Amino acid sequence: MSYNWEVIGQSGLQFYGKMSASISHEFKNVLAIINENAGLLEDFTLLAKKGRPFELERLNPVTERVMKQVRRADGIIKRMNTFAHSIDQSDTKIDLNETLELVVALSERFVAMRGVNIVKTFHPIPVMITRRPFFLQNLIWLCLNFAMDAVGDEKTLGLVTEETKEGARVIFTNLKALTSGSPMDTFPAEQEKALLSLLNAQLATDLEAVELIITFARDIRR
Amino acid sequence: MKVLLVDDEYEMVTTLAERLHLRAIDADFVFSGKDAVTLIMEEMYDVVVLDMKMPGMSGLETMEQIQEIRPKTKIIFLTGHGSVADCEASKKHGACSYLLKPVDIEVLIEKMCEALTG
Amino acid sequence: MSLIDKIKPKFWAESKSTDDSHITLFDYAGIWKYAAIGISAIVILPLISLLLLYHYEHKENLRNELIRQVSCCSSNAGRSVAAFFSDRKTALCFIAQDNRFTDALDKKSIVEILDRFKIASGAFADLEVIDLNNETRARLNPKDLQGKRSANEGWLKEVNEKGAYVSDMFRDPDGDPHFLIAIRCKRSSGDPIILRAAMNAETLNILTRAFEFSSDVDTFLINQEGILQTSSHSYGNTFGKIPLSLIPVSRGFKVQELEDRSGQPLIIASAIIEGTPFRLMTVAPFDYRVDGMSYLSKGFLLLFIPGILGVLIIVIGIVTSLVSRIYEADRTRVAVLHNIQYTNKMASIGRLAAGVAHEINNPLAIINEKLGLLKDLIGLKKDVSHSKLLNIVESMLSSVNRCSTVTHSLLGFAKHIDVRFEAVHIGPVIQEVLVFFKKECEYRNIKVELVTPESLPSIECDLGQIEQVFFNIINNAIAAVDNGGKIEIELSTVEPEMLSIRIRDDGCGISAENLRHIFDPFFSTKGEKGSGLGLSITYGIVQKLGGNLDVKSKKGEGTTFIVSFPVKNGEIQHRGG
Repeated sequence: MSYNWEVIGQSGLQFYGKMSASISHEFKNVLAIINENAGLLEDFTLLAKKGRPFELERLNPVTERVMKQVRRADGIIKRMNTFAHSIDQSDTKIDLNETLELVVALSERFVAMRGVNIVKTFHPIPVMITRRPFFLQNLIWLCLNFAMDAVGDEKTLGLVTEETKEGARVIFTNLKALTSGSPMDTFPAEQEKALLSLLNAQLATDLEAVELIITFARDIRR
Repeated sequence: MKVLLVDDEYEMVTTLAERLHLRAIDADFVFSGKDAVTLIMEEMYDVVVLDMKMPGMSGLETMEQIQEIRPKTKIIFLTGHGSVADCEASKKHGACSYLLKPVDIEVLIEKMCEALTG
Repeated sequence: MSLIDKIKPKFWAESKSTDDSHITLFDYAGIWKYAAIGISAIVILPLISLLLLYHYEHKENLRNELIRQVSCCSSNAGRSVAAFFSDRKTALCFIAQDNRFTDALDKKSIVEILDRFKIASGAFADLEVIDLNNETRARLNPKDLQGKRSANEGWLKEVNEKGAYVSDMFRDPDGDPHFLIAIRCKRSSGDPIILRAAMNAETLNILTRAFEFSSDVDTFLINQEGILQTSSHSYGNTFGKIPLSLIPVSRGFKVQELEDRSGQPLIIASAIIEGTPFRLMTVAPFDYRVDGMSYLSKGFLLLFIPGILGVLIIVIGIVTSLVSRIYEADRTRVAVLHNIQYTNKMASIGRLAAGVAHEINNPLAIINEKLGLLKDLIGLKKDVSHSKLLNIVESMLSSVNRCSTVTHSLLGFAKHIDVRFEAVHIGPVIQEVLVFFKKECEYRNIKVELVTPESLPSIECDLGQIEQVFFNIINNAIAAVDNGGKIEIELSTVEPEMLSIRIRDDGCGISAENLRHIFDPFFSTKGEKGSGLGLSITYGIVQKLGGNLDVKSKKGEGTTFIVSFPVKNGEIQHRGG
């Protein structure tokens, strides 16, 4: 079976580029905060040198802030690491919950920029399917991107994972703007279709319940 | 408890040693695997904290050599690298823990104690 | 979709695109054309040749058959007509023997004899007894059928010399065609006399007609001048001139083939009737379109044309199917290569990112420890000197700087993932790529030297792909050198319009044997570790960007990769469309 590798490749590269750029930006923000606080410490020290002593306890908040940013940076890098390594992985048994967590975390900046609030309702136990992790992440991102547009004025997006007999489902709920017609004209587009084909997944919309549903069989057929 | 820290990052290893001192833990430091092996031959350490990637000998090679000289010495890896393969390789060779940088000092001390008691 | 579009095979349109022209194997439309035309020709040409041969053979057979029939008819008819004349001459001779012609010379008795003879034989319209002085002794029919006999003295000469004479046809006063037979009869006593009879041509008409073996055959008599002596179906009645150009025949019979005025081929047999001025003609049109030939053709064509069409359809079907299969197989191959190229790109990016993570963790750890220390000191209410504080701050700032550099490189790389052509300065690109190998080079004590001239022209290409090219080559170089080794990267302009980048390492080198295959896909000396595709993909990228990739190496002496790109006023110089 031949997949549309041109489109899939293009999509993957765009996705990777976007996420990498976002990671870099986030990291730069973290560095900026650490930088500022280092500067602040410097200022304190210089003041003290000039004869204006201070109580060391005043430095506590500064150190706290920096440690917080260090932890944040650590998180970002760990995510980036997982993300980057997922590219090399072929069909693997992966937890859909974890994958969604990763994608949501990677897209945090974009979500925040659009003023959307994500409410996660994941299946209580890991939902295992066998897929190539990177392309799965790519597809979920593209659907999340679409869902953020379709969420309407309420700006609260629900994210649900379910286990079914045949496999699993990912549902984007509360897409109030779904019924206004225009989003569905351009979605799914070439990229989404190519990925759906590669991942052996089906996309459906429920206009009554205003949901977008991706269905996966447990194993990828080859 | 006597600890040897092995890492090529000067600022990191010196500061960590100082912090351990503040917690009444005797910590020495060296900047390469080769130096670590030389030191081990003369001194006895309870725990050695190793980085994976260093100039010259790698962390794993250093561990092997230390174990030959002082089999009873416990080894903890503290690395920025974080690959699953390395983690398993280290465990296979008998490392007690595998930690990622940056590390919470309390966690490090906990692992060191575990290594000595376990 | 029109019908044409529905049955047009997929590879037809694809042949036009040139995007993958450097990796597709065939020109499918071309192959299809050659194969379809070639095979069709090989199959159909013999069939057509056979048909034509058969047709020709059949025509020949029919012609020969017709010639045979015509000859046969002509010969039979000729003999019959000759016999007719012979009989008449004999009859005349017989009555001439009767003494009453000479003894009595009594007109009345002669007329009585002649009259009885005429009644008995029926054919004679007139009978005359002429003496040697051309004086009529007796005559049956009082009318002179011939008209002015004196006009025709030649007959007397002939009758005296040859003993018999037959005349051409002439019209009687009623307009009916008649002819004369005269014989000179030697008698037992007395002088020879000439007996001349006039006969109605009708008998001759009926006689000649009897031999027409089919409705298109025309049998008639003509004289030496080509004037009809009996009536013909196609060429008019007696006394007309036939429009055919006949070959002269002096004796016996000949068969001739010619065409009439309308181009109709004819088979003509001419037979000379001895002792007469007549020539018997048997004319048969050689219409090979009739005589069952048309039925044959029709039936044959009815079988043949569908047959040929069937063959053509099958041939084209088979050729299309085969070429389609090759095309599909090639497409799969191209898709696999795309997949691999893409995977390779992603893999190298992935490896980059993984390297980045490592690069960042150390500085983060430093910040972590430094501040942790500060916290500890504050918590323990220890005294912190200014210099110590400053040291902590400086460490933090330099760590932040290190992180920043790496992040910047990653961001830069991430931005260039989309393929986009722009003016690129190679120097900075290589520097950026080298950042990713900095730590490893530090660990392994590998010296990397970059030499760039003051000003270097930019080239127009896709930044992401160029980065990938240098990343692959430098990666290989680093893998090849020992710890403590050296890598030299030199940028220069070779001709005014070529930019050259030499990457030389002093590593283990490549044997001449391996050098030959170094750009082959799946060729790897890394054992299980390498996919063997890095260099072949690099080569492909360089080619596509319009550049050239060369390698010089000697086992044990190191390797030099030379990448060159054309510089031409910023115009795009890549191949492949």
